[in-house]
Amino acid sequence: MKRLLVVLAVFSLVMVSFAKDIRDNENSADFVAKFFQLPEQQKEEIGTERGWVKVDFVYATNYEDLIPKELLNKMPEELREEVLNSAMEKEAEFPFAEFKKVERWIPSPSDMPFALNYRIENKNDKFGDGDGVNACDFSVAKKGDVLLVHDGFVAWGWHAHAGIFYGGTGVYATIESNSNQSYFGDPRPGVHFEPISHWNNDYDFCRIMRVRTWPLSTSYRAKAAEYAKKQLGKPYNFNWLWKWSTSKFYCSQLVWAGYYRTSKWYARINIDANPADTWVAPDELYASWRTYNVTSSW
Amino acid sequence: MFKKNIFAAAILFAAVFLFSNLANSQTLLLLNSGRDYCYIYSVNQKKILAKYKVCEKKASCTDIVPLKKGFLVIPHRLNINVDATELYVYNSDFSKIIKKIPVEKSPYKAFVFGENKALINHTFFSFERMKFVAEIVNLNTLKIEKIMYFDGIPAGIIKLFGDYYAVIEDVRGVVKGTKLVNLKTEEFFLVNNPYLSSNVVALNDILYCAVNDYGEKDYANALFEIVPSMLSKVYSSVKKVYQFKNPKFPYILGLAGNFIVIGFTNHSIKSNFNKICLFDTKNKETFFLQSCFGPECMAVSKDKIFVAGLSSECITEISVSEKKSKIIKISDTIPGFSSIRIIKD
Repeated sequence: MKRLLVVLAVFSLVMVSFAKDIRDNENSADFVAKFFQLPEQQKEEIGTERGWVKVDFVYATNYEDLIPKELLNKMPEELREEVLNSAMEKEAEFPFAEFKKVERWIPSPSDMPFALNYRIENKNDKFGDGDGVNACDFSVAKKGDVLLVHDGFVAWGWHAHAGIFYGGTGVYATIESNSNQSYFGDPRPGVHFEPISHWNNDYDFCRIMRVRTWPLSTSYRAKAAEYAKKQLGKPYNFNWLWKWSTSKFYCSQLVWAGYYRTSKWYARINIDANPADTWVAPDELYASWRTYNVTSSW
Repeated sequence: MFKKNIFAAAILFAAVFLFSNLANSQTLLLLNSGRDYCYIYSVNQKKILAKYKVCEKKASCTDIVPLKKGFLVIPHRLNINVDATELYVYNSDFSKIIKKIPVEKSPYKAFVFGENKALINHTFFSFERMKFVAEIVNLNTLKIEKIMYFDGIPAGIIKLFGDYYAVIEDVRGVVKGTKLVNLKTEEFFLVNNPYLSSNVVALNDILYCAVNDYGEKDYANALFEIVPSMLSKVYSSVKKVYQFKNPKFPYILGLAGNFIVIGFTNHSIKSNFNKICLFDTKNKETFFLQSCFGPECMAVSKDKIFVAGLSSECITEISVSEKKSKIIKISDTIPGFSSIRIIKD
């Protein structure tokens, strides 16, 4: 009798937790679908309460504001000029006022798998015609270059995804970390190689950015790509709020970690435009003073 | 009477003309993976016979194999972040899916070998228990004959000592070289040189490998001959047979008789190259020919080689005997083709 009761108790416990899982998943799916339709103020209240974070470039009014002043003063004159010029180039291409207006939300880890596919379909803008194809020139890409793509509006900003250029003698020349809705709970990667055709054939817009490694040597670009290669096979990090993880990676975290983790402690190559927080979105890689545009499909 | 004779001769002439046209009507299948459609192109008539949509915009179709009746379509993704897990068998006008063949996640390319078989490779998402999955599909029965597990992603198929071998691209850096796995017995040869690439073909049991511009200093932009050692089952005798200077990025597209067909491509849509090299393995002679920009893949039909361009919708027709090339521009659409197959020889 006692055994039967124990078995029944365990069974009901399993069933209750299973039911809770299903309910939570349903809630997350519903919540994500409704969240983006909410008015701005309600979005802030409800989102924050649920553990979502709004990404904002609070203290900046232009790209130049994102360059740490003490670093700017230390830079050799030539580099300082180059950094300021590239801030102006970014301004000309994508005015900061417009860039700042873009809505950026990082969902809570439990809602993340359900938010990953959220986007407005067929959104046409000057950067893409909504055909899901671009002609970004990969012949100029070098090992360690940052790849950023846009494909309609996404929950976490204008750039939907990031990756790193590896090159190499095989077909698979780029490394990215991608999730998959059907991978939820699936331990498979995560971090993997993709051929160049993936970046050209699956997004409206693609850009290639190079990283300023100063004061370290440019060899750190290759080191960042090798770091990304060492992470191959690791799972996707659904917790976008935690960029410090080294056992799981999301797309922009992988690229950021490639530079951050391989550089010296006294001269970290931090390509996160908002380095103080615990997340790094693809847009933050774009806005960083350390990255500059090499080419784009626009 | 005279009029009747002329009429009969005209009919005969027309019939002979039509018959000869039909008999020689080479038809190609050209896949534009970026734009999600394919063309059926008649070489003789120099026109597109049909254009078929092969998948939805957010989905991705990466290869197609013509069957006796219909087509085997390899969908890579069904939507953003949703991998395909089935191959589709379409009827001859792509209006109906006749059959779905369940496979591992994220199928990518089909390597046709032997009489009626194809090896389906997958991208990284098929990675399971430290192995990459690939399936052998029988193109007659349309059934999976065998599921195989490799250390890397199969990048091609070669014929060696009478058997077919998959060339495994060491995408995880665990092999430190290139593995050649027998598709029947699963025994393997190892090309134990990490500086060589997986861009390998075999002719008369000798391997030929091209290394692109990203290779090590002594290997970059060169063609290598690798002679086997049957006893050790390890290929280590590597000899450089040709050093390319301009253009760079040699990429072996395939074999045509004794010739190795090498396209020069950085796999980029822009700033790509428009040259092809025919390398004669008998006397090590090279013939450089003009091609469409971004030669990406090829198909052989009798004396002709058809090379599809990635930079725009364009194909290059090469006559092997004459060592001449002809560029056939189909449209300015970007990107161009990622797969070319012969439907009718």
